[in-house]
Amino acid sequence: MLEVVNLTKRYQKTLANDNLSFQVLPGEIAVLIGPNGAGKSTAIKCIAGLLRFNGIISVCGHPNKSVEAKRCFGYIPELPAPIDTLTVYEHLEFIARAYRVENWQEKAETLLQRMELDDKRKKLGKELSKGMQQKLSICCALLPEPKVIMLDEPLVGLDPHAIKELKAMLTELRARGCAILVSTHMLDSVAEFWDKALIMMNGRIAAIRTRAEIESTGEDLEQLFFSITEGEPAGGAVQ
Amino acid sequence: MRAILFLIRKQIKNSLMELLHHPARLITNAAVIAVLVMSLLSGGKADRSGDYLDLRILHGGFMGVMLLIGLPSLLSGLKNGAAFFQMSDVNFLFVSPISPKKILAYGLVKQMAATLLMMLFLLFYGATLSNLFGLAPWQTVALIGCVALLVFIMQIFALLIYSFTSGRPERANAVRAAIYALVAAAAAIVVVSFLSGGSDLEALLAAVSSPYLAWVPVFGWIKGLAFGIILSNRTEAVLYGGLTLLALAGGILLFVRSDADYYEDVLQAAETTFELKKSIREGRSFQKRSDKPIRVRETGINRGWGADTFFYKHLLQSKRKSRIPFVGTSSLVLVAVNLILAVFLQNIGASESDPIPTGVLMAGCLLASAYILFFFNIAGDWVMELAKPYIYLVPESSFSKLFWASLSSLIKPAADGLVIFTVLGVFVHANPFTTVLCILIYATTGFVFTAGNILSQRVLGTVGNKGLIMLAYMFMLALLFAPGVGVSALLYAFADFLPGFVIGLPIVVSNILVSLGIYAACRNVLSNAEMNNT
Repeated sequence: MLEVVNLTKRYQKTLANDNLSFQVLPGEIAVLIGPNGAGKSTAIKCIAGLLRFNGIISVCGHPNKSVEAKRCFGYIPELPAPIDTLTVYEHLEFIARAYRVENWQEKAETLLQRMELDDKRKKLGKELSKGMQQKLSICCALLPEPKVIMLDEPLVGLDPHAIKELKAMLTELRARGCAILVSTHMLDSVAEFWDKALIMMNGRIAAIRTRAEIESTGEDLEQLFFSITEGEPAGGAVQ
Repeated sequence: MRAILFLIRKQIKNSLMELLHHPARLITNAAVIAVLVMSLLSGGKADRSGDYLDLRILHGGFMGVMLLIGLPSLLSGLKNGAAFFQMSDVNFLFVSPISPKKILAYGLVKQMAATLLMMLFLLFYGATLSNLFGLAPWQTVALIGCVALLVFIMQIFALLIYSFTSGRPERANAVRAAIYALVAAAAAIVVVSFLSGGSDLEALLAAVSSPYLAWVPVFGWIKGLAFGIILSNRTEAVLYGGLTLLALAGGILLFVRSDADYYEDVLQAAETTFELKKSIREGRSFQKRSDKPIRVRETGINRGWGADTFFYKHLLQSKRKSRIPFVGTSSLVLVAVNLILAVFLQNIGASESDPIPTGVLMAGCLLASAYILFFFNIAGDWVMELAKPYIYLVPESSFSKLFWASLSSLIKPAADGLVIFTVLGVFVHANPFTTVLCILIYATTGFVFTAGNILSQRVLGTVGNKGLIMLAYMFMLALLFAPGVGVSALLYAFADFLPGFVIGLPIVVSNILVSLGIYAACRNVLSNAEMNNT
């Protein structure tokens, strides 16, 4: 489970995240959405342990910067950054060794095949296209079989096959009890599988809704988003 | 034109206003300017009756520096033109109904201003130039001004070359041949003059200051102009200045007349510069992708479990860069620099019939190598690792990740030091103890640089201004080196009967203790660090 309690992040005079609190439960896909500058990326980076912050972020019950939390956490950043001088397969080997993943080869094979990277295993990081870098980043994040997975704009740059495959993977991971947080601008891309929507605006969580709550009002995610971010009328109360 | 003038006015005004709104930046800029002026004036106050280096060395050095700066710029024209414009210019000006020629004029003016600003930093070397060659401040400014002129002209030519050769390989080959012919001509003048002059130091000095070099197009003309000015030779200054101006005007005219549709010619360079600036802003300044092909011989990290995987990954990456791990191009560059420096110092000693002791010679080379190491270290494995997310995500303790991820950065200077000073020691017949001392000091200097990086990450990690970080980082390094250097200096001053090895040893011991202390104090740095490229 991912739990964020009173997360506050300030860059000098800018308050990027103001007292955010939310949970992503096991077997749940939460989407973090919001207009540009809402503070999503900052929140993502705080959760990933890349930034300092005030508040509590726990992953599987452990503080997010602890070794225990990192062991069950997978992160797919918005901008993939492969290591120029390692091959695709060596990236996976590196992750397996660093995360102490036993018998990783078979899992790596499966991931490479699903992402259609199996014929690129000897390609160096610097030789990969943007899309292939993103696919590699996904494989690296999923190899240690994390229980909490966070994806920042995961579908950007992917080809249709990889998009289909990643969506299938997310659904499978949810079925296995993973807590998944997806940050995205593309509401359509997550429409079919989201369970909980976290809508951010001006550095705050403006609303939290479950799919059941929204569907009971006859609305969809897009309508809710615009009602909150642009003040258009919609059903349901804002948190 | 009104729109462009408005743009220039606004850019200047807003830059100044921004400076006023950021007192720290203002103070830094003021401090830099003060240091520049002091550096220049302190050189100017040097005792002019003293002994100075032969001015012919400056002739050769100046020509060398111009070729070193100008040629890559000229050759870049064959690949991607010149970086006259920024992406904002492309996005806003290029699509506007303003005449392309006016936009080009705007680009040229902006580029000229940027070049002059960039060259201001060369003034840091003003005092050194003045002290070595007995130059007055105005003479130093004239030399640097001529380098700025060269940079500017080379960028115009790069643009012209790109426009002329883009998509036409046969033209590109012809231009490349012409550029190489130019260099070959300059080299031929020096070699012929050296061989015909008796092949000794005197002949070398005469060769590198040969008056025929001034006839090498543009490079030689600017050199002629520079020395015409500083030696108050009005005829030469006017002659070569005139030729240079003709080349500049000719270049601009040719470009404007040949093709006003130059947007495509500058687009690639604008995009490259945009990417580069973005990287620098995001703290990925040294991660520009290399075009150099990497041969993958064997695959697999094969060792490591947990945090030590970082080290074995670095080892594999190092093997990919060179056959012998940790000894690569940078090591060879350092060996070459040191051998050239040693020959240079030996010749200076020989010409004055007062040979420089090998210990002093080794110390001079050690100092120069440590200076270069500072820049190599900034691009070390540890610093590169901080820009990727894995170092933060891997589930291991902060200290073990810190140790293993920085180990290769510690080994690299030790390996380099071993190679450089062994070769140098043999070459100058140095005392083996001196050689060992140099290796140890160089290696432990590398430790302090890496430890300094870690400390900087711990202490200065959140400061926004990169310029301030750099100043503070350098100040911090000076403090870290102070104990060892201080004790050694005291020993040298008050106990000079001791052998050199013993006098230098406190630096080694202090560097090791300081580095260990920083590792211990910063063991949790990765728990508190913020990733740079956020």
